[in-house]
Amino acid sequence: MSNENRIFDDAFLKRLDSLSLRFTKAVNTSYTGGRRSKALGSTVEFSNFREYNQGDDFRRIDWNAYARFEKFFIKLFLDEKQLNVRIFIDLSASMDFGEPTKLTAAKKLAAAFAYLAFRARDKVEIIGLSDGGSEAISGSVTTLQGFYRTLEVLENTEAHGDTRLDSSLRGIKGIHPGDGAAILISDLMSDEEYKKALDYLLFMRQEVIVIHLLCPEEIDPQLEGMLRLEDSEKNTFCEINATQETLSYYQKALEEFRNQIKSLCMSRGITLICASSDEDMENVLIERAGNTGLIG
Amino acid sequence: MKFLNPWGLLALSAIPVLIVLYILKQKHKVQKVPSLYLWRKTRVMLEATTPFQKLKRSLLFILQLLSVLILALAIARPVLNSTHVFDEAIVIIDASASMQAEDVDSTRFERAIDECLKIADGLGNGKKMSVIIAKDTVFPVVSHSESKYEIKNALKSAKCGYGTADIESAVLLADSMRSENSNCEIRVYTDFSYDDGNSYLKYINMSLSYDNKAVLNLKTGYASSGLSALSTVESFGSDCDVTLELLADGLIFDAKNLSLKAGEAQNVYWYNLPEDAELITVRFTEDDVLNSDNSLSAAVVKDADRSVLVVSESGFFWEKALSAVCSYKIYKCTPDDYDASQIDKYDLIIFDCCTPEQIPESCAAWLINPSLDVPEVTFGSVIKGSTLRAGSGKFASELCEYVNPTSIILSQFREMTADGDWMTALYCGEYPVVFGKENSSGLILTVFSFDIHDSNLPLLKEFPILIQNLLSYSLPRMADGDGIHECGDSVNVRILPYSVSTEVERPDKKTISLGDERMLSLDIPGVYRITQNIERNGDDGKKSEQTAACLCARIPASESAMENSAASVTDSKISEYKGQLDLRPYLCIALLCLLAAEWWVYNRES
Repeated sequence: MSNENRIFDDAFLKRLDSLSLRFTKAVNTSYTGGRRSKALGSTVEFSNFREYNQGDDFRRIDWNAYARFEKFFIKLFLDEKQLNVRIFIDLSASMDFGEPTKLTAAKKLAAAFAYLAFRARDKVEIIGLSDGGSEAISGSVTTLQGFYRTLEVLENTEAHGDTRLDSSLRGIKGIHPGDGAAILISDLMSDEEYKKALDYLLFMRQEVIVIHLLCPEEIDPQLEGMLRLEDSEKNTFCEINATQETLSYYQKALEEFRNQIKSLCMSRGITLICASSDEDMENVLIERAGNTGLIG
Repeated sequence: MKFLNPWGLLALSAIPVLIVLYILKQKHKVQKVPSLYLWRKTRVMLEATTPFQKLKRSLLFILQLLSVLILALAIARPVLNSTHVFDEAIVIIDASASMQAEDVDSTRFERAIDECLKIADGLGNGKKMSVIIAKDTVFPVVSHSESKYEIKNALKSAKCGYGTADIESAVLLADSMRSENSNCEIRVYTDFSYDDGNSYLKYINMSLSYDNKAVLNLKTGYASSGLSALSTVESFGSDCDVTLELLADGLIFDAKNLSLKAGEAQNVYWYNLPEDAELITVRFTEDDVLNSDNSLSAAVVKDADRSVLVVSESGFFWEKALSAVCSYKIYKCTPDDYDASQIDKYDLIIFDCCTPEQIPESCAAWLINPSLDVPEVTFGSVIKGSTLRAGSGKFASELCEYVNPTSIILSQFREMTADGDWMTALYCGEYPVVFGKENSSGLILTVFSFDIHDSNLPLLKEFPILIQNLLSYSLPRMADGDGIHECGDSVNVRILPYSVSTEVERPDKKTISLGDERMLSLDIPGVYRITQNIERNGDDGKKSEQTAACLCARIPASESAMENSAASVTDSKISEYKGQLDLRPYLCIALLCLLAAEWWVYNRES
């Protein structure tokens, strides 16, 4: 595979080594991992005292407390659990636009997030969404070898079908309430679908991060004349006269769309990162995601 | 509405072609985009903010369709008709002097011509037009013509006159022309008000204002105080204050401020005019709608320049009669004192009951009951007279004008016979008693076969009239009348004795030479200066001299007065004829506008 088409290079990997993914919500899973959990466990981080009950491990009795109160108290510590990080990539045909394509950019971001999660001993899954369904691009990545295999699969993934985010997400089994974080990388080019999808993820008490990815053709279309626009996902058309006036109204529609997403995310506590496919994804990841506090 | 060129509607067949081309051109360039989501929103916003977006997208096509439609209509030449469509239009244009009034943009006549040109332009296929110009005489300049070129040429070359217009004759002529085609309309463009006679006869009044003033008359004469003039002026429109000035031989001599009341003629007297003035002109200083009647000229008649010699033993009657009818210089001598060598000084010699040794050749002569025979005339016995009767011919009619010959009674006369072409003016019974003849020099020789004392003539009121008639015939002026004529008149110019050529300088400064034709047509107002070159044979050979006289012409008083139209003064609107209105010019303008709009839309869209 040529270096150009590779979604990852070694230098970027090294840079990622110094970064980590920071999620705000406490995890609630059964597997031990590297993320702070609401459950009490055996980490060194003190949580509280509790009176000794029969059956408790007497090794946990705080003797200093007994000396002071002549009662047995047990020291409780927080537990660290493994986080389920699910990275959802929109694989609809609309993602196959731009230079580089939105899909390429999405793959880079997904790989980076997957690596960071893998480094934090999280359970990482990359799932492609299209045609109202989903396809697992990778299983749980637990080793570096497994990560590289995931990269290979990711690189060979192609865009197809249409965008039906809500249907796709609802069809995914294994998402349990509060068990992790969901990173959605999409152009969100649907009216109600993306709202329903995000609401569904929030309903599943996932920490939701949205990467809104657009290509230059969408941000600043260079069109002119009488055009019959063809939708890349559906076999539908729209005839327009691409005048300056039309393009200015397009810009208004785009701005309105972005504002709509922004306000939705703000109101629901969703982390939103907007990016263009022709941007340097390392910068997007390090600076823009860093500004949101997601990566640090 | 109808179409003058219905074949032009074939151009409408271009519309389906245009629609097909438009449909074929409709193929937009296909552009694949990631999603139509935003584009659909854009279109909704566009349609919301610019409601006629769909229309705008097809605006160019709509403009093209309209252009083709209007082009087809323009070729088809639609016209708006009046209530009835006639096969032929007969137009009568009043070319009288009043039609030169400038109360509309141009003159009334020019406006009438413009209206007729419009009718000619709007003539459809197979439609005819006739044009009659009504002046003193009526003549059709175009008859039943379908050729617009011919009609328009005739209209453009028509000129307005300065005389009257015989509208009645023109309508009669048009009626007779109409008998060839009953489905025709007669339109009379005039400035006089007439009631429309019937459905096919329409009078179109071209006048807007009748605010006219005119110098109606001017008389000059010598009185005890010298040369004086009497002018008559009138305002036909409204009361006005005017300045009237008098010019003697072209130089301003006097001016007067007058207050003229509407419809009231006012006489203005001018005294102590220059004695030697030959031409007096009176004019208003201000212009009005009709300027050609604002000035009037009159030639000063100088009878005193002429001299008459009465050769008689008594001559009392002749002296009195002559002084009563003219202001000639009258000389008197007895037959014994008569000096034949001095006859060149006189214009007329009256031989009363005597006969000269030689009949004068260089002046006119009256031989009253000559004592001896004269060449070609032989006298016989004395016959008892009775009442007279007039002869035939020009001499007799001129001599007997305003005279009743039967009132003249002779007690006796002499039998008179003549050889040659003598004219007989009066007869007593079967016998001629007054002969007249024009000699080789054009002078008149008159012979009476009776003594004036043997008649009742001195007692009759006709006597001075008869003398005046005889004087006019014997001593003719260059032209008839007292000097002021109306335009349209023809004046007989008298060729003076020994005249070799006659030239007339018209008011427009053109000089015409009168040959054998002695009639001078006065077609424009102003002063006509008649000059005759006279060559006489004297003792010292040929003697050349020029004699000049002036004739003045004015437009007819009825044209100044416009009395017939006074009733419609309040109706100051020009009666518009709603004829065929050719819509082609308007369609062409609309087409140009559409093409300009199309160009603008095309540039904007591209």
